[in-house]
Amino acid sequence: MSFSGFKEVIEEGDTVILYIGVSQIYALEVKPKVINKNGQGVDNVFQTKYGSVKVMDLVGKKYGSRVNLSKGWGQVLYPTPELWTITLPHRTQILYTPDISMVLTQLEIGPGSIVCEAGTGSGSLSHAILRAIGANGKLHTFDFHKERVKVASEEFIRHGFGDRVIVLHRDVCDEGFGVEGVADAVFLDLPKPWDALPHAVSAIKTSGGRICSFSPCIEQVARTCEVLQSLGLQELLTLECLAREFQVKSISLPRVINGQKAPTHQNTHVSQEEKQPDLKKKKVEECVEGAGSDTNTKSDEHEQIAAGNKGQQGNGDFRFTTGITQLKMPGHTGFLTFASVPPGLARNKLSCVA
Amino acid sequence: MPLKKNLIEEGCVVMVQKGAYLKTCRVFSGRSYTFGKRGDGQFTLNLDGALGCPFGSSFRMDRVSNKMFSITKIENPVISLDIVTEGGVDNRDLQDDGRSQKLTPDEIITLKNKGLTGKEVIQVITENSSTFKDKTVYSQEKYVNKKQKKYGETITIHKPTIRLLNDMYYTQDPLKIANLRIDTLSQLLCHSNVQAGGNFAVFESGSQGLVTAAMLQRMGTVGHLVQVYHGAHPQREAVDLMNFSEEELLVLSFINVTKLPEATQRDSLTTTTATTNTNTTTTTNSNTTTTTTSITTAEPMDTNEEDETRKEETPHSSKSDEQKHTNEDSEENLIQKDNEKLDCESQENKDQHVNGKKSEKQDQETQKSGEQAKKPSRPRKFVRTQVEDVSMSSSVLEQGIMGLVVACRQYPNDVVKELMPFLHPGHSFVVFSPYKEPLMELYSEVRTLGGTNMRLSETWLRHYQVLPQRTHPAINMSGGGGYLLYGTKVLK
Repeated sequence: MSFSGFKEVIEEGDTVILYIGVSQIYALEVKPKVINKNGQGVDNVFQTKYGSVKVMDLVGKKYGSRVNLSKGWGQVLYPTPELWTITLPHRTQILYTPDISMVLTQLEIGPGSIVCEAGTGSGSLSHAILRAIGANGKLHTFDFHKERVKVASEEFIRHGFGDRVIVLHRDVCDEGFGVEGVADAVFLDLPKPWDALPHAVSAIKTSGGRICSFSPCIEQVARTCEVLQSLGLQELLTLECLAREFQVKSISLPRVINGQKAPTHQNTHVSQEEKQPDLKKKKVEECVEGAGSDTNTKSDEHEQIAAGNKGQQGNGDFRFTTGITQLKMPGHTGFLTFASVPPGLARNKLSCVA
Repeated sequence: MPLKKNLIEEGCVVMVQKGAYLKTCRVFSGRSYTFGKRGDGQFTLNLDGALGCPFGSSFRMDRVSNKMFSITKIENPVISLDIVTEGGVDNRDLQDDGRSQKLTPDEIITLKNKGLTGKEVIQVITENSSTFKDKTVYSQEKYVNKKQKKYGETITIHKPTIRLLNDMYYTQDPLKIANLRIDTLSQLLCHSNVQAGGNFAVFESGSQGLVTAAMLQRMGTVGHLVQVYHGAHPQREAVDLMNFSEEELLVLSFINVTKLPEATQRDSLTTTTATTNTNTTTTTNSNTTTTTTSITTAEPMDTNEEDETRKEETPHSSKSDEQKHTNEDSEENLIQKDNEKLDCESQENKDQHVNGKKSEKQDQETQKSGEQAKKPSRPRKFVRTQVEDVSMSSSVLEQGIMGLVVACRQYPNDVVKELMPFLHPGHSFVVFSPYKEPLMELYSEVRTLGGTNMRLSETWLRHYQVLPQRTHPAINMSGGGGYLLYGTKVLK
């Protein structure tokens, strides 16, 4: 229930986020029993690298408080769609926050908005939309996969969004959205979005609205844009957005100084202390390697690395704090194509385009 | 959205778009508004033809006199692309000698002034171009599109939205909004978890109130948003352009950073009253300045709606920016600024609170009489007095907030330390800065204030030209849209 409102204390039925480290974040459902692999109900005990936690023990604790694990500790955070996106059980490929946030702004979704989404997938974007539309909005979400519809629907109810969402098992390309002239915005994440576009336009209010299509491949985009144009949509925009994360680290670089002559470009930074001519050059690489490979390490761990480095540092090292880029990051998720349905767009010609 | 007006009405803010050009203005019948860059591109519009039409409609510009146009709604925007005919194979025979166009610029202007439509002008231009026929179809299309931008006479009138406002500021000058690009703004909104219901706080400066406006848009009519501001007056330019209803504006309250309640909840109300009282004694002299400024703005032709709004309704802000920046830290000025702010409040009382409350809702006719005679209805900006704002904000902050946003030109770290105590444990904070360095520092400092799950990130944004056989990334892109540090606060 916790997604849709605000509270200070954890209650049974909440979904909470257990934070142990940057790569160990889990969504836990606060309930006494879970079903194990053999289909039996067992006590809800969650296992982590640092030991286990009895989930029901969280009841009565404040959000933001520390939780003891048998071999360490973690923190319980309030669930947000963003945290859900990084912890949710994947049933499909999902959209991540950089794309999701762009979709919300570009589709101009706000409290009271009526939005159509196809397909539902794992519900990553749906959660963000459900937050944005508020208690008076409505999300119609569709998926052609029956099981996914069922699981997603139950999930939305558990998260307190039950009364703002309608989840349907439906192939929108063939059958359309089943609603006409009601939506402020339509979002499509489909293999062949062009087949659903005429239906999407009919779903939009006659006073106009916004449409978005998410596609990984440029060929899909090209075809989508052609259809959007032929349907008379305006303000076509295709873009791509990616987040780059930085790891904040203190780095110290040994200097290479030949006798008394310091290399000119570093001259200004030379401290008055004695230089150490024999410093191992290798350390530069060590630092970078340590940082890069552990984009996912826990905070305590970096502190240790930093401390470790300090031990070996020479006084003459050049030290600075920097944001280190990831050695490997997502390079492409998909192209987002947006368009506006102008008010009073003639919709009778839609069928012939389709 | 229910009850959201979808029609262009007298007194509402609209966004006029012509090609890539976007500008806001508040529509009043009988007035004309100047758009475009000084010189050739400048044009003056009377927007009466738009009244009663739905937002998002397109209009044809009809020449009334030299640079003056009236507008008429059109159903299907003219596309001049049918001028493109058969084209050549490639550009091997094209000479760039500047002699391909037989018409002189003067002749083209005469054509325009003779009353030919944009499309007809383009037609004549292409016919008089000796090389047009030899260009490839793609090249012809590009040429026509370019000319259409110049001679096109279609505008679209949009409802102001965060997307378009950001777009407008970004095209005018990204630095106007501290290079807060749309993807960064969007991420900021998501990570702050702002939503209808719940208490939120934002500290904003240097971005025209866009962050505040965007958060308010995500909150609708439920919950509380406190804008903590530094200097003489709240940051609300973008808020005023969004056509927020009074109900929506009630969500927002303002508080000067110097008047923040104690995080420990004691004494807050008594301290604020005390401060206000001391200020009242010195208001008189600055009152004169405010009156002067409001007089200067009562011109009939307000080309710059934005400026006009600011001057007219928050008198103190007319001398805002320079003064704010040059004097930011000197103490005497702080006092002076406080006085000015108080003025604003009293001015409001005169201008809006007193005659605003009734007139706003029912009889706009009555409002037009008397002092407001030449100015048709204009929505109230401040829905509360400053004192009410401060006590409202204090009580919201004392209850605790579920999301904190800091997006400012100043060194953000002190602000974050000041406001973090109001944030409920378990909830999120987001800090925006155009620079990475303060955020790197903050990254380690916030840890001691209970920050966890922190990320420092920036986003890449790339636009694409999508055309058959000619799809590629846009030729120009923004090199960076600012940095975000976000995380969650926990109990220590």
